[in-house]
Amino acid sequence: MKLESKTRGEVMMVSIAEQRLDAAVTVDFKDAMRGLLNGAPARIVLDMSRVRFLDSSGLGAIISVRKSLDQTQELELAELTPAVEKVFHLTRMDTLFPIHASTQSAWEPRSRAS
Amino acid sequence: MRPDRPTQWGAADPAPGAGADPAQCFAPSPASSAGAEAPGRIRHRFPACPMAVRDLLERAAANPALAHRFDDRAELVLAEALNNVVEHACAHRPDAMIEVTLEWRAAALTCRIVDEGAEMPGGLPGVTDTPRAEDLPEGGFGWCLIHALACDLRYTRARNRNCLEFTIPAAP
Repeated sequence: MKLESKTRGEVMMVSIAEQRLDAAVTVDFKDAMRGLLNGAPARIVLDMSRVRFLDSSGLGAIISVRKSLDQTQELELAELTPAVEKVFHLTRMDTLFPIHASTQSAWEPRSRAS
Repeated sequence: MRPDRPTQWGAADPAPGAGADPAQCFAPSPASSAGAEAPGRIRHRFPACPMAVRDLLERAAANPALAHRFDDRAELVLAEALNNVVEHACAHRPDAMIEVTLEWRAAALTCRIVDEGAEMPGGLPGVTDTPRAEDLPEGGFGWCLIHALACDLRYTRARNRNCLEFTIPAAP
């Protein structure tokens, strides 16, 4: 499972350099994310632009990563491909994450209403 | 002749809904893992492990016989059904084999999965509510996705094998 991460300010962008996030790689994905999350800033953005296929195991792994964050952190998603977006929509798990149309917009500071 | 009774996989039995030839199901084949292919149809036999499932899905997507018909809905439903076989039916059977037959018939992709794993307890799961987002569920999505996208779901158990059939209608 190849992940590429880049941190700028309060954002860590994690790009999944794989076409598939499926049952074959979910354990690797969670392990790799755990390594990156150590000392991560408040906003963790998953760049999904290269992921062409996501199954329910991959979805569960992303939710598992979200649960592993501390209270000051948030997991966000960017650039969902059509098939991946469909999985989030059908399961209604798109309500759990801020979703950015592009990685570029994900870098921009978020206005927090609180 | 098509007797109306639970599917068997004997040589004399007719094909179940998918229309594949059950006589050849798990029959010895000269190319054991290559799969039998006819125009518009592919059949593939592989071990019950996640990487083999991935390989099957990639083969199906790339197969010219099914081009454009094996779309993202078909890939997702087949993945979910096969993940269930690998993780549950064949959980303690690393030697178990799965056979998948995909065929384009009557404006739908028909899919049949036969495996040597344990019987599905309680039979085919019915339509259930999607797990609630606020519970942060890490599973329970598989059958929701299958029911949302597949039609004509049918599960039969015969001769120590599971058979799951479904269709994916042509995209609207």
